[in-house]
Amino acid sequence: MGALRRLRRELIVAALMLGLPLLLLTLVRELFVLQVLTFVFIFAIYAQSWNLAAHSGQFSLGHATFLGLGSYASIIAASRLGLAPAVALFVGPILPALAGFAIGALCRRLREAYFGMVTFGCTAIVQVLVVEQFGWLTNRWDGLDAPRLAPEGLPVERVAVLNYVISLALMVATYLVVAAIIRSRIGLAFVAIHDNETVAAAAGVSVVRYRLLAMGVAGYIGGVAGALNGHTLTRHISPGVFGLEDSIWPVLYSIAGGLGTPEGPILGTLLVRVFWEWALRRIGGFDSLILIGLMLALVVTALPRGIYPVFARATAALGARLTPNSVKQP
Amino acid sequence: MVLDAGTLLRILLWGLVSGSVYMLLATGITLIFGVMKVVNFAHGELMMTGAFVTFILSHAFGLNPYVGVFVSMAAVGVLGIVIERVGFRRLRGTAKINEIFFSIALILILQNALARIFVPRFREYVQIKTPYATEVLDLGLITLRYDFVILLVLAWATLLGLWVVLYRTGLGRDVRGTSQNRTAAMLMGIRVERVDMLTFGIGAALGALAGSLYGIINPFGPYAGTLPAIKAFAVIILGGLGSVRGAVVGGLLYGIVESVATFFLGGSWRDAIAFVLLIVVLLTRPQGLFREGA
Repeated sequence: MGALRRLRRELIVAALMLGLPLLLLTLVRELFVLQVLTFVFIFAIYAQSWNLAAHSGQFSLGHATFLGLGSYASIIAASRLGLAPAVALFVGPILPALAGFAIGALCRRLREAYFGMVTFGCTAIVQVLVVEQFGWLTNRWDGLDAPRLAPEGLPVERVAVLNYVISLALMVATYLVVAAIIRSRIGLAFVAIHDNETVAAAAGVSVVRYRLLAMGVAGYIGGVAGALNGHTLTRHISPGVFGLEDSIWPVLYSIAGGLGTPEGPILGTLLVRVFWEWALRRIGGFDSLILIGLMLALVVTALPRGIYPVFARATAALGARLTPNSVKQP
Repeated sequence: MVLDAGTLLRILLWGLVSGSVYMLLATGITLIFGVMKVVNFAHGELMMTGAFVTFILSHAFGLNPYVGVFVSMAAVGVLGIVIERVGFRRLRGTAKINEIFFSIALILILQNALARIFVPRFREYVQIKTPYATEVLDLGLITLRYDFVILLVLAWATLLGLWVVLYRTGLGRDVRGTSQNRTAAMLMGIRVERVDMLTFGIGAALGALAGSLYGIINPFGPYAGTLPAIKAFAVIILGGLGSVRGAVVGGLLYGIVESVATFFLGGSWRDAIAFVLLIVVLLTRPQGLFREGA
């Protein structure tokens, strides 16, 4: 009960996050809108994974490792071992979780830019391993087709709705898990490591163990996002996933929403993605990416803590104005 | 796979040539790191910008690429100074992670600005044509392309020039001093912010040279800079961050190792070797990672 009371605010936010999109579902049935939002839910899970690793001071620039491995493992588990996609979705990510432990162990002494360089390098190695060493399993550069999550014989509209609801539910579940971790003693240890490893170690925090834990959990969550993406939206996986682009997106989403909060990645993914879909139609892909780059540069130099704190302050101010008898903060 | 003396020499020569490109790239990154303690993840994009400037000068204006490369170095050098002035300088003193984020923004901006200009006009990949592309020097066991000779001379002459600047001029003394101890350098009256700006410019210009030479021996596109830059990161971690000597030795060694390993393990391992090497170093000599020198 103590944990539930501590998470009261998060449970309310989770209910809203679940309720509003379901309400939307009763109003809008346009396939395109559903697909964009399903994408947002899946990549919010992915951004959440990056955010958790970053929370413990590990700023990964090779997060595509987890996304890709989760996708591959789940698809292979489903098509080779005959698991139902709904089961493979949770079995497959064990592989990226192990990869998270391994990469975390490899990088246990590294911080900041060094950690970024090596995690990026790991993605390149994983790509070669997937294409060459496990080529017999992964069909090399051609990649694999994914069995779909929805049962066969369902019409397209129903499939879209099903994907939407499942992705939404998993996003909210991930949010609660990450929020519970961040609000617990483990989360305090993460923040301590993030702020100052030496001081954290002096205070009795087992730095390496917590860093590995963060990477393992991040690996699992990132893998779920990859598996979900494969079984619902892309229906295919190829080694191209281990590129720079899929490692940069979760960073962008998390920064846009605000680092270090469990709400940030979700808000950020929604904002960036909706903007992206709008911009792509107006000004084309290259210009949209240039614009995102310019905005990121601007945010970093002008708003180093992201948009969410501004958003939270604004809603708090609004709340204070709506309740006239509330005590004014000095 | 028959390994005779000629084949071996060819592998080593290719290693020397590609190693010289990595060397220039790594030197630029390590200089910037030494002085500013900033890892510029967008260095590969500066490199490709340099390659594209040289390409355009030779393609559209018919300028000899070995002349055009100097224009390109000057242009990208100025771009580097602008980036330092409006970007990295504002981030000094904030969380280190902001520098990584700013680099990512630079990657997005430069890559897509290049793609926007080049993809509609040319195919995905272009290569810089030189007037000597067909001429070779016959050395008996192997034949040597003129381009390789000029490339090696250019790379090493530039390195010699850099050495002269670093160790025989007042500016070089300021750069080395700032790199060793920023506060002390400031107290000695060195204008460290000017040093930052010039170092970033020099580093970017070295990147432009590396890119142009890369573009003469390889096809390249707007997104081709990422991988060489990441390899250069591996090189400077191997050689010791902030150490120019480490970048030179590491770059050459890396080029040769890559060339030999590609021959024996196959082409697809080419890009992963850097990281296998890096992992081995991290596991066996993690304490040797952060040696910093001049």
